[in-house]
Amino acid sequence: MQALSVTAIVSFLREVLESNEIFSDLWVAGEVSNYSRSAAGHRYYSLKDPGAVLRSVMFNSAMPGMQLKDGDRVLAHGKITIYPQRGDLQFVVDFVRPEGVGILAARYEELKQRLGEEGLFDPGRKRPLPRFPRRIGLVTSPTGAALQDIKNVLTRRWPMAELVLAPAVVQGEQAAPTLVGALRQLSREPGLDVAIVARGGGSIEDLWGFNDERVARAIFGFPVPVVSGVGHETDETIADLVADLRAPTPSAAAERATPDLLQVQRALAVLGRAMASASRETVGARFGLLEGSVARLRRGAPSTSELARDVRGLLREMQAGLERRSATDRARFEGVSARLTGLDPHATLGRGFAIVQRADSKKVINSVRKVKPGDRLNVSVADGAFWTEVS
Amino acid sequence: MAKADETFEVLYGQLEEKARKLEQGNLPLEESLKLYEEGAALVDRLRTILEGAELRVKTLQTHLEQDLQELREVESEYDEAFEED
Repeated sequence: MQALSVTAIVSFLREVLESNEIFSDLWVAGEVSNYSRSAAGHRYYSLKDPGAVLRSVMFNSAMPGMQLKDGDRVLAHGKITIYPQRGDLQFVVDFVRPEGVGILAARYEELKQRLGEEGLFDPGRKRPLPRFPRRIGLVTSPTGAALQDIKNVLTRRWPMAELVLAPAVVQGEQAAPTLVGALRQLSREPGLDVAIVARGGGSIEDLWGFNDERVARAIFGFPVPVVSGVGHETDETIADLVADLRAPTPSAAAERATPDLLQVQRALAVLGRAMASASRETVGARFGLLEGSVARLRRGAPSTSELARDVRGLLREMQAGLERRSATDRARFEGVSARLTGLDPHATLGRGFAIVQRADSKKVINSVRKVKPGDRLNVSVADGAFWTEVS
Repeated sequence: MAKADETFEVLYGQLEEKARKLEQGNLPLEESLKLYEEGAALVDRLRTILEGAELRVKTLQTHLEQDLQELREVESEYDEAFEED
């Protein structure tokens, strides 16, 4: 048997540790001791419990403001390696929370910070939703109340759509792989316009699958916009943060993902009416012009006055016919939208105006007092919508 | 099924375009009447599509069982690695 150099064996052990998935993404609970901070801002300490000690370091780039002290009980996230110059086993910590917050909250905060820094929640990458979705994907439990709620909303609001359900387990730790599998399968469906990821309310443990990194990345990489509706208003999961639009509940997600049938019918009525009145104006203007010519004709050449009378009579007839027909059309349109008297809002948008709404509540912003820096807003312009953030 | 170029969105877009042209005015009489005719026909078609709509639901066959099996394998590896007592 051949002797190894110290460097060779320590490097080999280090490689084994660093290539291990579990050791490179680890949570450890323990008590801080021998805490010290170097001039460069690195923090060295030991994590201990009654049975063992683990040498730990937080380099200056990891949570720069975080100070610990001896006796703190913490949950620390990081990776195990070997510091070759000393032969020490070392726990390189990148995230630490007081033990009291609980492991789920600590994991949530670590993931939120890390994915946030990576840009997965950036408002700039949120995609606008389609105006009239035809195929709506849905990832949820095939037996849950969320599915029924969403079906009810779609039946009422936008029955034009086809709902494509990709069933998943949405409960607890089992949820993540099935959510990822369902998203993957749904992403292969042709002609999908938007997708909803939904689950009814529950405890933080119940919702855990929606705080999984794999699920977050599957949503981030999904080929069409994703609307999340997970839990209740107060639950903010990682899936919510990465989704293109976050709705507070499954029903609300279905509402955000679709136009309202009644409003579309009203808009159609408005468009029809606007066209009728525009074409009446055109005819009216031509009529005025011709009438002027007729008057001039009559003044200049009395002999043509009979002809002029005929022309004018014909024009009057024509206008009356048009008026009658647009009146009939108008009556038909107005049956649908008796209450709507305004102009078609899209015509206004076409002139460069925009509708600004809160991204979360969809409330229309009509005053600077209604926003503060950091608020996310949805801006609708003539040919679509985008998100922005107040600075 | 509507043809690809006759989806609700496409037809609605055509209607908006015609309305926009009409409202801008300055069109020959004949053209504005034609636009109006076509627009009114589009309104009728769109309303008919809306009235006849009924939600359809399709359920995909997913690999729930397979996914769960993979999960159980990963978990048992994890448990073995951290078997305490």
